[in-house]
This record gives sequence, C-alpha cells and structure tokens, in this order.
Amino acid sequence: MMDQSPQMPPAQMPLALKLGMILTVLMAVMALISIVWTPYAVDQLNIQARLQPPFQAAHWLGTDHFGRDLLSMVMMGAQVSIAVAMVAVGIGMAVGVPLGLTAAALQGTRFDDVIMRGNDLAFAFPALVIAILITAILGPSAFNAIIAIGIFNIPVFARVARGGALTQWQLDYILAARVAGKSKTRISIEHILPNISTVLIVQGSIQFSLGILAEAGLSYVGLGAQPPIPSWGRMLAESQTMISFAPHLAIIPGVAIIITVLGLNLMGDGLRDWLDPKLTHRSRQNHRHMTERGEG
Amino acid sequence: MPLLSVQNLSVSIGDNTLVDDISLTIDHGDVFGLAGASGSGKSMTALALMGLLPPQAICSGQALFNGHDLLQSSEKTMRSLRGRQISMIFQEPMTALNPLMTITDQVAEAITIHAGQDNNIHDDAPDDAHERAMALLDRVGVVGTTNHQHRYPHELSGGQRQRVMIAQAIALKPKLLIADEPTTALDVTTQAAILKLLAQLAEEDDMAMMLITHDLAVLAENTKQLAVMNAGQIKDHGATKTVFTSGEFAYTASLIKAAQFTPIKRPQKPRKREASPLLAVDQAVVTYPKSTRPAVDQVSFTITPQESLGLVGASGCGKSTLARAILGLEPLTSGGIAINGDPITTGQDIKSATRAMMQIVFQDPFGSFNPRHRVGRLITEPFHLMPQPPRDQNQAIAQALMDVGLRPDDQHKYIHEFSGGQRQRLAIARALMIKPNLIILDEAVSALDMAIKAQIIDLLAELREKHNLSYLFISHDLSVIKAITDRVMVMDQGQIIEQGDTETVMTSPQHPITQNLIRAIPRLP
Amino acid sequence: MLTFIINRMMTLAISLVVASLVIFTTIELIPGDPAAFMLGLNAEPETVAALRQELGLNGHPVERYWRWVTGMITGDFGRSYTYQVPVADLVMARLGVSLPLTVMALILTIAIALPVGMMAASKRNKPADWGVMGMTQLGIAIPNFWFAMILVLVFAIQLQWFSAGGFPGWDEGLGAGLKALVLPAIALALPQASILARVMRSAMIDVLAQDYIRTARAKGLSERQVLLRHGLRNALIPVVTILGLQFSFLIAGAIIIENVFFLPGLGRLVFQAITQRDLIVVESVVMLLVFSVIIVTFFVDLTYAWIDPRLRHSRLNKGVWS
Repeated sequence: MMDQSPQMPPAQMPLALKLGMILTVLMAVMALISIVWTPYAVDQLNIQARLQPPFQAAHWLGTDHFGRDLLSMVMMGAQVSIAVAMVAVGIGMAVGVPLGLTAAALQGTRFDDVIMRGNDLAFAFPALVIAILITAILGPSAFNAIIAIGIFNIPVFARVARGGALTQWQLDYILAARVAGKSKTRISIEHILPNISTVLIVQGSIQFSLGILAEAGLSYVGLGAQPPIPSWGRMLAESQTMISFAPHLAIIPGVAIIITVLGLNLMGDGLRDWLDPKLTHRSRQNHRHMTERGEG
Repeated sequence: MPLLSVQNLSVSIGDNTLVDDISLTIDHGDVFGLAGASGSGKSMTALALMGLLPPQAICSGQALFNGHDLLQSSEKTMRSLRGRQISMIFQEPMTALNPLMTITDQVAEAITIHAGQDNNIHDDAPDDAHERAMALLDRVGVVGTTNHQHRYPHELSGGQRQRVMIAQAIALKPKLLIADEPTTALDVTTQAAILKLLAQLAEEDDMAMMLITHDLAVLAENTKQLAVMNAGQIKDHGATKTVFTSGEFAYTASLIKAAQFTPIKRPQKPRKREASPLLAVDQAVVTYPKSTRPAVDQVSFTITPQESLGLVGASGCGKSTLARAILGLEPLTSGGIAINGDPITTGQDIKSATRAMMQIVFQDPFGSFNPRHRVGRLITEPFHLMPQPPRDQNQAIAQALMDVGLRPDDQHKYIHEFSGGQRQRLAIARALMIKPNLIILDEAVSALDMAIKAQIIDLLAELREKHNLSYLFISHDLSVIKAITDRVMVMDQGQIIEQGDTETVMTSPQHPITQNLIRAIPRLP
Repeated sequence: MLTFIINRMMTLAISLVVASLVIFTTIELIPGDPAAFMLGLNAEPETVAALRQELGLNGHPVERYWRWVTGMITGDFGRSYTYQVPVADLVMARLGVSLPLTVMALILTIAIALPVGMMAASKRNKPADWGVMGMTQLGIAIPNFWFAMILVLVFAIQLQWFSAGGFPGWDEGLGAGLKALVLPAIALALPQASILARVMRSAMIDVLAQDYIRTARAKGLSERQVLLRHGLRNALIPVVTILGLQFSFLIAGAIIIENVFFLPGLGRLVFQAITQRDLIVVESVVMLLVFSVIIVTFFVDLTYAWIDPRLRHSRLNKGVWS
C-alpha cells in the first residue's frame, strides 16, 4: 500500500526554501540590528557629505541629499516594513482564521453565507482603498497602514482557513470524532486547526511579502510611516526628483524591497513544497490566487 | 495473417521495466483479454500500442498492425491510425470527457479530425459529422432527450458517459478497440450492460477488441483468448476456457483461489429475532436542501441485539446518508430513529449514553484518522462519551489493540506507520473502545485487497461473538454481504426495495432490481 | 443561464448597496463635525454652518445617505469644496486618464502572460520553463512604482524615447496621449503579468494531466490541436478568475503610478483631496473604485458561466453524501 506520511517532511530542503531563508534572514537580521545600532543616526544631517555615491568606506551605500547615511536608513526601513507587515499578518490571522473555521463548521447555514458574502465584498476593497478611507479620517501614519493592510488580510485568511477546513470536514476522521461525541468547536481547534496549519503558514509568508509591497506603496504616496521615521517607500518618493543625477537613491531602497519580497515568496513556495508534497497543482494555484489579491 | 502481432514488447521508465518482453497476437474480430493486478503492465502495453506512452518511457520490440509497426511509425502515421484504425476507451468515465464541450461535438470531432483521409466509410462534411454523431449516440444507447446537441458530460451518469466514450471510439469503425478497465468504475448492473454493448458492437462491425481488466470473472465471460500479466510479464496465455479450467496455468489458478475467498465463520445456530429491537428506524426521510428527491425515503427496519444486517445498493442510492442519520449526523426530515428506545435527534442534543451505544468504521483507511496524533490518543477518542473514562486507559488500549490482532506497543506509533489492513483494524479498535452495542461498517472492507479483506471479515465475525455486537454492514459487494450478514436489505433511490434472510435474498431475489443486481455479478467458471 | 444571470445581478445589487453603506458610515465616523474637520481649527462658526448647509450635512443620516445614493445614480456626486466644481466633472476628466491606463495595462498583462504561461507549460521542466519561472518570481517581487521609476530613468532620461511624465491631454491627438501612457502601462502590467503567467502555466499543466486530454490524443488529434481545442479553454477558467481580481489591483496600482509620471488621474485627485480634506471627493472616488471592482467581478462571473457549462446549468451543488 502506498504510504503517505504527512508528519515527516523530506530530509532534503528544496533549493527555493534555502535561498528564501537566506534572503529573509539577511533582511530580518538587518532590521533587528537597527533596533540597537545603525552606522549613523538616521536623522543626522551632514550637508558636506551629501549625495555621496555608494561603495565607500565611510558610507557603504552612499548618502542622500541631506547627507544622511543610506545604509542606516535602509536598515531602519527594514525594521518599519517588517514590523508593519508582520502585525498586519497577525491581525489578518487572528480575525480571519476563527471566522473561516466557524464558517466551515457551520457550512450551509446563514452564518456561513453571510461570512462568505462579506468576504467576497471585502475583496472589492484593496488595501489602498482602505488606507485612503482611514487616512481621510485619522490622517496618515504607520499605524493606519498596519490597520489598512491588516483589514485587507482578514478575508484572505478567512477564505484560506474555510477552504482548508471544508476539505478536512469531509474526511472520515472528523466524522469519527463527531461519533465520539466531540463538539464542533472542539473538533475545529483540536483536529482541524493543526491540520490546516501548513496552508496557513504558507499563506502567512505570502501575505507577509504582500504586506511589505503594500507598505512600500502606501508610504510612497504618503499614507504610511511619517517623517522622521524612515521607510523604503518614502525614500523612493524623495529620490524621484534626483533620479537623473543620483540614481542610487532610487535603486538601493528598491533592491531592498525586492530582496525582502523575493526571499519571503521563495520561502513560502519552498515551505509548501517541503512540508506538503501532496499539495496538488490546483491548490498551489489557489495560494497564488491569494498572492495576487494583496498588492497595492 | 493476424490483425495485431506483438513481438518482444518491452517498456521501461528509467530503471523500471514496466513491460518485460511480451508477445501476443489478436485476430480480426477477436475479443482478446488482458488480465493482471494494477501495476502489472497492462495499461502500459495498451498505451505503447497507441503510441501514447509518457515521453520519458522507452519501448522496444515490434507490433505489426495492418502493415504498420506501431512502435516504429512516425507520430504523423500514428495520428492517422488513432481513432480511425485503432481506438481506445479508458477507465474513468467521469473525467475522460472534456467538461466544456457538448457530447455531440466530442463525438463529431472524432469524425472530422480524420476527414479527407482514407476512411473505412465515406467522407463527410462537418455538418453531416454532427448528424452522424447523433446517430452514433443513439446506437450506443445514450438515452435522454432525443436532442443531444446541447448536452454536456456533467449531465450524464457514469455509464452514459462511458457510452459516449464508446461512440467516439467506434465512430470510424476501427479494426481494433482497446478497452482499458472500461467498467471498473461502474456498478455491476451498468458493467454488465456496457460489456454487452461492447460485445454487440464488436460483433456487428467485425471489430477486434482488447479488453483489459483486473477482474478475471469479467474476462471469463467475455473473451475468447486471454493473457494474464504479472510484473510486466505474461504468465499465462491461451484460449480463455483452457486457461481457467485446465488447471495447467498455475498463476491464474492462484488468482482464482484468492478471488473465491470464503471467510465463512458464521454463528453456529441461526439467531431468533428477539422482541425488543436494538435499533428501530421508522419511516425515516432525509431530504437535502435544494434537492427535489429525498436521499432516504420512508425507510423502516429494525436490528435486534447481536444481529448482523446487510445494506446493499448502487452508489448514490442513499446508503451512507442513512448511516449518517442513524448516527445523528444528518437531520431527519420526518420519521424517527431510536436506539434501545432512546430517540436519536441530530446535533449535540444526543445524550452521551445514547451515542455511546453506536460506533462506526469507514471505508477509507487513510482518511479516518488524524495523521498528527498517536494511535493511543486516536483510539481513545470515544472516551468522551463516557461519564468516567476507565482509570487504567493503558490497559484498555492494550486490550483493544490485542482484540483486533495488533500489539499493545502499537499505541505509540503514528497512523502512517500502518498498512491499509492494519488501519482498518485500528478503526475497529477505536469503535470497540467504549463497548458499543451496534457498529456501523460503511464499506469497511471495500478498499482492501482480497486476502486482507478475508482476514478483516474473520476478525469481525470473531469480535461479534466475543462482545455480543450488532452490525449494520453497508456494502456494494454481495460476496462480502453473503459472508457476514444474517439478513440483508436492498436499497434503491432512497427506498428499501427488498429485505429478508441473506441466504433467501441471494438465492431467490424477488424485486427486479435485486434480480438484476445478482445476475449482473460476473462469475468465474 | 437566465437564472444564473438574475442571481448574479441580485448579488451585484446587494454588493453595491453594502459597499456604499460601508463607505458612507466610515466617512460618518469622523469624530466631530465633518464641516469643521474640513475647514481646520481656526474656522469661523458662520463659515462652518455655511459649509454644513452646502455639504448637506443637516438632516438625519438615513436621509443624507439616501440623497447621496440617489444623487450618484442621477450623476450628481455633489460639489467639491476645494475646486468649487461638481465632483462628477472632476472625476470624469480624471477618469479619462486612469481608465485608459488601466485598460492598456490589462491588455498588456494578457498579451504577455497567456503565451508565456502556455509556453512554459509545454516546455515544463526544461530551461525555457525555468527561465520563465525565475523571471516571474522576480517580476512578482518588484514594486510597480519602483519599476516605473527605473523605466523613467532608462527610457526617458537616458534614452529620451519618452517624456519623463505629464500628460498632453487627449486634445493633442490619440497618439500623443497613448504615448504618454506607454511606460506607466508597462510598469503596471509587468508584476501582474508575472502572476498571471504563473497561473496560466500551472492551470495548463493541470489540464494537460487530465484524462480527457488523453482521450483527445487517442482520437488522433495533434499536440497543437490538443493544446488549443481541449487545453486552452479548460485552463482559462482559473485564469479568468485571477484576471478579474487583477483588474482591481491594476486600478489601485494605477492610482499609485500616476504619481510617478505626474499623470492627472484619479490617484492625484484623491491624494490632493485627502491633504485638502475634501471629503466629498474622497468619498466619490472611493465609491467609484469599489463600484468598478464589483462590476468587473460581475462580468467575470458571467464569463465564467459562458466558459463552463457546469456553472450555467445549475448553481454549484453542494456535495451530497452517499
């Protein structure tokens, strides 16, 4: 008989996972170090040393038009980006997963209908639109960016959790648990949640990378973190007028974003292949569908 | 000269030899059987003849068909032969048709794709192809509205779809039809009808047929020549009758022996039907929302203590819905179910004590356990139903595992460390844990190999004696029902159409559907 | 089919009502008096009162919601407080830039993604496929507005093939207008095309493994016929779903990218409105964006049913036991 063992992932990690982890760890370490130390203070102006090109001993990545050290700003930017995206994923999971699990447990009832309809509708509000609404009321801030991206994540996780849970509910072991007299709540927590955790982790890494992109977009248009907190998006916005004579100001934060997002995406794809080789192409596609929903 | 002559055909993928040096011949208009278990290389042989092997497969040898060597011909030549001179139908009628095309279009495509070539019949304009497609659909017995123009595969049953497949395959009157497990996914009655249709078409069109199946009984009844494959080689080869009856063919004889399992370990004396039933189902109706026809329709029956009751019927007849309703997992639309006099209501309202009287064993030995927990935790799940779980749980687990023929140590393992048969033993152990009065076995042995099946049935008979159990045994497999039940009910379209003593129903069925069902079972000589 | 359309239209109507309610209440949630909020701290009470009158803030919320909705249906979006012109006129003029940009990006996305995805699927696990997968992985990771800046740097500043930004207006002729939108459309399309190409690839690989593809080959169809007649249409089902979602992200992306190219579109309008606290404009633009997404979803559903007869004939049956 064919033996499938969902418990033990294969010993060999996929290349994508390794590569993704290296890139992600690199950015995470940079963000962590920036909490206690950066080469220069990010608000330290030095007009003499302004617009230095990259790759020099004093300023590895050069300086901007106020003479601020670009490496320090990129490091602080990583901290802000990662923090915003991480909290936003946390909000999405904390609200979305219980909603999805409940909807699946009550499949076919009015509650499930309302949740699903609400979900469909929520997809009509991209993170950018939510951010516009919130900012119009509360004014721009990193906090509002977190809320906007977080709200946007809720329906994504609700849908993924519900989809995964529905598949589990079809399986006989759930029926066996019901015959054993367990309540639906208990089954959802004890049996279903652990068995959809792989999908949730993978979706989490994808939403994380989308959060990074969204945060960059929001701060680029001025709806994210406000000065003096550095952010990759605003660094790009400020570089725009100087792009013809100081292109490194535009290129470096962009590369930082790309490395982070690429690392998280590779890690997500790799994790999925590694943890769950049984996942069919169709379900892979579904992850990708979700991927697509986050940008902007 | 034979129609097809295969010499020394071998197929391998990487280091795996899937077909190992086989030779066979098929004459014009002959029905040739190719038997073997799954993985024996029969399907690979068929695909090699069609030139449809996966790209990484390497094949050698010779297959002469009508002047062409099928293994050496160019893709262009093969394309012109496929569908025109050699056709093929497959096992999966549910997925073998394009879901987005009407059935008429799909049959017509088989005609138009070869338009302009030297066909066995005169050429047709595309318009006529549609007319001919409709005629073909009528010929193979696709029923329903006379207008097939706008019908899609999803509107047809499995048997009907297989007829559409056949219509495509015979559209250009090929000289050879390869049928790869054409009826394996179908009910016995549908299987009989499809086999009859194939035989009739072969006869009328003077078409040779290669019938590939794992089911020896099907071949015994339908073929003249037979080859039996194992591990890529042809073990036995000859006239069907000789292969089955002469006794000279050792491999085939061993297969026949395994197929005729007789796990009879019946209770010595027939039980008396006692006055108070353990389970009473009274006029039960289950109608799904948005469905016009009830899935379970006015069903009434009883099970007395220590009785084993069989429930048979085609898939989709409502068997599993009924099982779920009895377990309180599916709300009744009307009627009532009671166990030991306590009514079963759906939802969480059922008293634990009531629920503890019943347990279930499912078909799928893979899906019925949470892969993340150890066996000890898995099989003690029903303890939830007890006001006070036994103090010495270890003792209880060990006892249950030994009861089903496993070792007490097995409780520390994960479920993926067990084979299919062992998992089914674990499922039974889980059901026994709280000493229920009734166990519902929903196709509990259907997914198992023949030999394992027999062992599990023996185990069930033994446990029934030991623990005074009643069984409700749901299956589509009449030989299993015969072996393990005292009485049997036949279900069709949600209704019980016949019930009675198992022996009586099997030997003299009353209802026409039951008669069909029993007659349709293929038998070995 | 008719029941299906009616059903979808009901959903469409309900979605629009709920969406408008969400937007209306969000704006209502603003602490204090919106008129005072718009005018800032030092406003004279009379000015505030006048603005309240002008904004139609007097009256019960239900009545105001009703006025807002009926106004929108008749084309009256109210009057912009900063521009002192009807919002409808403002929005229409800006839509003349944002909509063509989005549509151009959408066309580019499809034109790039479908052939690339199909090619990768047919060359599965060969160098061409790996190349495509690597490129798309990178394409997904690139922020579109950053890519826009790089395009400006290369094609406008270095090569001088395009102007670095601005929009001549459609009065200058179709060619000039379209030319100004080329770089923004490419920047918008690339990440979306990367996603869509991956979806196309995996959908095609999925479909090619199906039994009916084997049936088609057994009938004697050539590989090309198999791919185009049986493969493509089936693979399009997931692709259309994604494409529908992408439209909304192209709109959102367009709003951001307009800033890079100084295009006078909805994006610039709404960000200016936010800084100037011109709530009516914000409210109207947001409603318009959400409206377009919901409409596109509606059409995607119809396309879906057009492709897939299983949806056309019945609503998806819930899995029936037994």
